[in-house]
Amino acid sequence: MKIVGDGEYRAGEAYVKLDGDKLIIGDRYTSRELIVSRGTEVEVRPVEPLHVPKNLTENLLIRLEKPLYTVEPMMTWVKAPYELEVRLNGSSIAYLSPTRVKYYLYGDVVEGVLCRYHETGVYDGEPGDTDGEALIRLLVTRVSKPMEYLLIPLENISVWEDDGKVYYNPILIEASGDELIIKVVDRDPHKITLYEVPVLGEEYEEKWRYRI
Amino acid sequence: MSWIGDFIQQIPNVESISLYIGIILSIGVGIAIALLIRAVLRRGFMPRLPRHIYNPIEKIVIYSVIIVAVISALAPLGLDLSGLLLTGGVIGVAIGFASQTVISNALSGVFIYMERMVKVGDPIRVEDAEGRVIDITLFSTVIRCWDGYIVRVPNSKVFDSLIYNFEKSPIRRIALKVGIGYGVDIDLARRLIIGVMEEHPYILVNPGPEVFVDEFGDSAIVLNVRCWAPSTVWFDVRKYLLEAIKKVFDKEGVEIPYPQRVVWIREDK
Repeated sequence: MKIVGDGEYRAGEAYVKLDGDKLIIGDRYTSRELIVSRGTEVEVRPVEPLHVPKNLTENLLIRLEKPLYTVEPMMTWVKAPYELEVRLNGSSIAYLSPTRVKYYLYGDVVEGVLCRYHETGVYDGEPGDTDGEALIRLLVTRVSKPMEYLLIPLENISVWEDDGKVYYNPILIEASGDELIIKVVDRDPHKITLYEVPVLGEEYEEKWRYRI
Repeated sequence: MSWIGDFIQQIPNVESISLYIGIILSIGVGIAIALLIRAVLRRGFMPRLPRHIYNPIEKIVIYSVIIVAVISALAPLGLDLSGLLLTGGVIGVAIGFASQTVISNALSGVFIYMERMVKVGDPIRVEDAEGRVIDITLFSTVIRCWDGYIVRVPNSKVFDSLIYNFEKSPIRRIALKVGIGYGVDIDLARRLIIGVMEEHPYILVNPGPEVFVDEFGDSAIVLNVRCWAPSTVWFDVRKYLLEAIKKVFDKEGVEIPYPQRVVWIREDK
């Protein structure tokens, strides 16, 4: 989204306000005021939640408020955090977090992985109220036990805004023994559907795939 | 015609030609072995050691192998090298005694690199020196202490000491002791402290924070406050936490008592 002249953009607790030659930006953790020349183009765009308050990890851990268990393929929605990158005439000047930031250690103290943490409900349909949170479409083929946590590496995922909502790439979840295999799907979350691919014999668990 | 006889005498016979070829081949085999050793060293040690440590080690090993190969190859010519070897051995022992500390430090430096317990940039504590490692040379580890001093610790000392690396693990625990008055509701104090910790972004959800009664002190109930934070921001969080607990206690009227003495004055009847 672009702000030229006077204008304001708010998402959750993050705000960007352009008032004449004054640019005011802030969130729960920071607040800044800058003097900018008139006509400066301020661009606000959603990005992966990696920078606020400090870049500590490239992994996101999402905890489902109610664990998910399915033996049949299903599609569902969850909410995830994101950040706003504020750019002045193409140069990045700040990152803001619309939501509270917390971290979680996945694994043990020595070998564990530090993750950005977020809690979310699981939604059958696309949630309408998403103030300050992004949406992820999950394609779950099958899980072998109730799924409570999703660890998503953020390095290859895209975040974008569409019609006032922020989306991540859809994520395909497959069970492999007790492990979950998480794959980022490079598709529009609204245009993706599950369908049955006829395969033979014992490859039942392999017969569900995604398509545009 | 005597010059013809001299000329024929000077022409090497088949035996001596084969001897020279043998010497050249021996030297060639020695060089090939040296190159093979170099390839093995480069594969096994070069990625693990910094250049300024690896390069001298490689040169010493390779030249030693080549010198031994050349000396061995020249032995059939009747060169008596035993004297040279003896002299070399005596000099070697003398140098060895003289440079015992230097070699000890150098070997410790190599082992420190191989062990990977410490690397440049890590905040560590070795004996009395605590700070960030700014350099690890072949002979010493250089630490910039928190108060700005530069301390050079010989590698043998680093290798023999307890090394505390504060950022080796991704997270680190913060443990504080907070005293509250005996009249204070413990649950309220615990709730307030947990609230402060939940509000801070760097205090981890997992492992979670905990607050429990540690002891009944002389003038206060001592609460043990524990939480975990990413190692890189540990000190910032610790600094914040003590102050934030004091502020929230002041706001909510939770007393932090100071040592008190009740003095009884005896009245003589």
